[in-house]
Amino acid sequence: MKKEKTVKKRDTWKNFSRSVVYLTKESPGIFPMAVLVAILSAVYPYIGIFLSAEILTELADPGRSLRHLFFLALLLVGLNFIGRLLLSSCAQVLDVMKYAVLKHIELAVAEKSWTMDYAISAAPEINETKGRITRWHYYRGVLALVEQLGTLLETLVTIGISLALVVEFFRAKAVGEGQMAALLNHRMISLLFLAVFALSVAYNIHAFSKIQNRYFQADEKAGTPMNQMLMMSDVSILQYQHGKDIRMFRAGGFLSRSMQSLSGSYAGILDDAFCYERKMSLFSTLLSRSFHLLVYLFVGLKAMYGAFGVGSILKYTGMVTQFGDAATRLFHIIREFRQNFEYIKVYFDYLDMPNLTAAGKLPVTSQIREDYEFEFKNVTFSYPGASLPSLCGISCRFRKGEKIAVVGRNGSGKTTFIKLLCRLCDPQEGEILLNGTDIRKFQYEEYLEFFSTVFQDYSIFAFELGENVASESDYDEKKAVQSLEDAGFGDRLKTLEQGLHTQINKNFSEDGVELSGGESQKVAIARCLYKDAPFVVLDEPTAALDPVAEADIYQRMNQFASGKGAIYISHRLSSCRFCDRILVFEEGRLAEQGTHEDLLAAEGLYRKLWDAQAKYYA
Amino acid sequence: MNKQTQNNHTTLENLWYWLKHLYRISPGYVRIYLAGIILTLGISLLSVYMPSVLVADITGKKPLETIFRNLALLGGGLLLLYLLQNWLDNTKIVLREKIRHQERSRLIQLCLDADYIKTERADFSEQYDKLMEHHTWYKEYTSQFMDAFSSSAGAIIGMILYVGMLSGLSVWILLLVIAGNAINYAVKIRCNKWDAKNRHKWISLDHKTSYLSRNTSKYEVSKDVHLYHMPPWLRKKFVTELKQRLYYTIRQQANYFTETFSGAFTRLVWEGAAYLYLIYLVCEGRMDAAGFVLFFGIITGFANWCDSIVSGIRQLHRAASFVEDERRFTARLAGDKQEERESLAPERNQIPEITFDNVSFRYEGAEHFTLKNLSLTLRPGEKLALVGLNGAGKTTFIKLLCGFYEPTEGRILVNGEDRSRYTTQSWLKLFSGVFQDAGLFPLSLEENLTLGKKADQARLEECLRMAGLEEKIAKLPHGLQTMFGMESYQDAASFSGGEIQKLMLARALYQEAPFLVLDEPTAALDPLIESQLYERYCRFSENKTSVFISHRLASTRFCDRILLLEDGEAVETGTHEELLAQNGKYAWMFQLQSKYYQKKQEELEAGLL
Repeated sequence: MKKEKTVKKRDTWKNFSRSVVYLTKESPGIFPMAVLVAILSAVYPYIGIFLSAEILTELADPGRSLRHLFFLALLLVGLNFIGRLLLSSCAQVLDVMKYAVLKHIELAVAEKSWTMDYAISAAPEINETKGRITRWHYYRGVLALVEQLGTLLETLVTIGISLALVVEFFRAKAVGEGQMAALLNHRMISLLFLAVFALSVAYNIHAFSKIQNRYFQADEKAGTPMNQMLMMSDVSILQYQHGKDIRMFRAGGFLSRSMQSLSGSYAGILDDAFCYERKMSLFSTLLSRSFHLLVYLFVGLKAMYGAFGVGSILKYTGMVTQFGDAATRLFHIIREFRQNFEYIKVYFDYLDMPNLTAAGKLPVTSQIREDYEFEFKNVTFSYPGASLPSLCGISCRFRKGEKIAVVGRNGSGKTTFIKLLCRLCDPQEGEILLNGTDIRKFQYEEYLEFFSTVFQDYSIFAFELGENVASESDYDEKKAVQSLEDAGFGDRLKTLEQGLHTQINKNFSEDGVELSGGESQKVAIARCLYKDAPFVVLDEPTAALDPVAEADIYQRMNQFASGKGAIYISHRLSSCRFCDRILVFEEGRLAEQGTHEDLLAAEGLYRKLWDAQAKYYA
Repeated sequence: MNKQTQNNHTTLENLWYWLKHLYRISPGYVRIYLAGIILTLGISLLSVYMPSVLVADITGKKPLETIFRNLALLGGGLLLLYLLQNWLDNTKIVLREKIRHQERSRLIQLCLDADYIKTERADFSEQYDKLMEHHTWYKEYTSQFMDAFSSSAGAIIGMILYVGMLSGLSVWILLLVIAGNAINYAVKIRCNKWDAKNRHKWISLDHKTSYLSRNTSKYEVSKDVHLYHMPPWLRKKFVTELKQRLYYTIRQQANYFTETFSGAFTRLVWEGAAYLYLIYLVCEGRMDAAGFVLFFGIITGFANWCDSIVSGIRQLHRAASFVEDERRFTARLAGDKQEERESLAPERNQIPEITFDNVSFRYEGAEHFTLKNLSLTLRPGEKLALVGLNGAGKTTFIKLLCGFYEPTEGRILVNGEDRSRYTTQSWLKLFSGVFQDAGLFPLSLEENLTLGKKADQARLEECLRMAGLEEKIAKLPHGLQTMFGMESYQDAASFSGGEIQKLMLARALYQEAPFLVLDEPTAALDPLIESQLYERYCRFSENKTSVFISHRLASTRFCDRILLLEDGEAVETGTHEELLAQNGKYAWMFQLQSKYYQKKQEELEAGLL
């Protein structure tokens, strides 16, 4: 238990120093600027407090000097002016710096998810974590540290100044003979005063920490319904295409009720925390305000009994308020500071999530790229949480120049097979070899360079057409046009006024072009052609294409893949006839393999599938 | 440019509208703000008076009891007000969260109830996203609006009150304060103008960076991000956008600095003048120290009121522009009045006849017609197949049929009556089907099939069997209660593309309707299921009119009639045999697809070379 605590403490400090280094690296000036702002804002209010007290004392003095008073007044407003300008300009520079860092954190979060192992990126926890980081990143987390350290320093300076004033205040003795003067000078009174002060600050701190705890818990609990609601609103409203189903099936009421109830439970969880705060803070206001009143009384009496001039009433009441506020704030900020480590930890843990794929170090040499053979050796894979493996004991090999068709029923593991080949997932058992070396040993990015792919659920982004084809902003335009033409997009390209620079989708501009399913499939194919990698993987690349385009694409693809290795997945078995070998999957196992003729002769599953389709064209 | 169309309502109209709206959904919330105004005034008055009274009592050497009494009265009152304010402020937050929940619900309801075509508009998603963000995170304007409203209302009353209290003092101090604030206001307006002129630039940059950080980091896209090694590119794009964005941030801060400067400078002037004037009065013996404290407090208070008004007006303007956005969005999505329309209620087992009478359709802003002069009658119980190349207008036809679009020219008739006689709701009831870009929701599988309707287990099983899914479902530990959506639920199951298509087919079958519309329902299905589907097609389209779109021309054999669309026009129509005999485009396409299923290998290769 104790050990656990020290480990946690060490982690906290490690995270703290890491945050400081991280922030300094992102923006070297951010901490010096925060220090400057903190000191300025701590000192600034005292200009007014000191000088106006001076003025008032002087005014109450019958021997006042007009010239001196004027000097004091001008000094006061002048210093106020300079202070205000300095403070606000520094604070603004700090704001810009913080904004830049904020955006870089956003980028870091995104970058992590771009590079994260595919296998883990689907988990809802990842999504919630991302939401938690980005939702709060201004108030909690690494960036909040700047604000918190600034406030900490500011509070400490304020406490330092007001402490000096408090000492001065208690040292000022009431004069006169009466009981009252004696009472005011009595040590017990001062102690009592301090005790009450300590009590009110202590309660405030206690109340605040309880409230914060509630908020922290509420935030943790409320994340799940919120995430679910936003996901649902994403699918049913933002992706407006689904609106057709929703309206046709009259599911609008049902879906909105589901979302409303999620939104309601989110609000309910927060409501609880808010109500709690209302209750707790009421008493804390009562305490601190009563204390404030007491200060007035005490300061007033002391002034009355000649301990100090009447102007000092403002100074001392001001100072006690400042001190009380600062003391409470100090504890708040320390608490917030400590709690913030939870968020910092979430952030760094997210960034540190290990990538299994990063372990590979071997380069994919040009010899390998020129001549290669893949081998699946007894490969078994199941998705996390699934009761049955998706692939089971797969063994097969294929080499450069071979065209392989993968066929099978829905859910038989075809797509999983290519996901394993492309190292989007790693098998639990068995291994996949490239020229005899386990693919996990290769450097991941270099290994992925090996493949030109079109997945079933390819994605085209709302960038320019050419950028989508090249996956890059500076690209070879000629090659991009060629790829588009080869993918059968040539005619459509001619109709686009801005050619390769056409903005896809209307997300950012009204001039954006929405592509139909068939068109975007062609762009995805063009992207695959542009990459021109040694091995081609096509997962139902023509599902959305018409027969004419399909026949065309098959012919072009055949040309493109000649001399390369290729894997085609298609439910249109006619495509198998181009292939040298066909792998037939059945319920995660490799049921048959061979040429079209062999398999037809074998009268197995392939025969069944073939006949089922061919009979309509007989 | 089009300011006229952009600002349909004046600021005041918008504010009044929103105030009424808030009052309607939460009267308590508005009342609390009104009470808050009185509290703020009280607190400000008492805090000005208290120190002054204390100074007066002390310099006047009043007896102790008087000091105690005055402090107890003023201080006690102040304490009470503070307590009330604290309670009300926290209650505001509690109510605000409830209001936000209601607003979210209203927004969701609005979008789901809107006509489909209105959600297809380019900026729909963007606007929705923005409003949702307002009602969910910290950018919300409801409390901003109310804060600005109550502070400016309070400030106006406070100003009047303080002017009364300052009587007896030179007027020009007040004028100086007012003039200073007027200058500040003018400076702010200038800066605001720049802001308003350039806002769209950085908003669109924000939109791009958030697209980059959100949309490209989703699970669905990560396969392509990995395999096309996109991270360095995406990063570069993000950094480029950010650089431009930072330029605006800095420019904006420079504006704020100008505002601060003008504020500080005018304050320097009036504060200096006030000090000198009051000191002069005291030295002349026309005022005592307590009076100095009081009047200085009042002048500062007065200046603060002025300041609140200036910033209040600004916030109100901003809130009004949000309200305008919201109103415009709401107005755009709000349905047409359909009260005069009848509900179309065909008798049981009686399928209406739908006729396209010379229908043409053009997308908003498009030059060319997507469908041209289409005339066609869907006879009750008929099975129509729609074929054609990509972009021939097949999907548009379906959208017109289902009532998502209205014809640009021509009419759609039902049993001889124009369909505009009937409500959209009742029209949609006629249809069930699978769209090409259909989707499943993050709900349980059963909910995805029933979509809120009663779950009839026997029929659910029947539909799953017809779609060829019974085995898959049986293998899931939680069966139909399994959740869909891996990003939302921890124990969600994964489905392949084909399985999702089967689920959607099962859904279309479960949701019974007289018309069955299938837009490429077999694209991702394996040959066995595809063939089964064709065989069962007659069975599940029994007693229904059906429209089948497919690129697999085999499917058309089971249809009574085939319609070949080319560039939006019907070019061939007839049965499979008739069209083959015509030896036209259809025959050619069929040939193209079927040749690989017939010829011998050697011939094929020869054909390719």
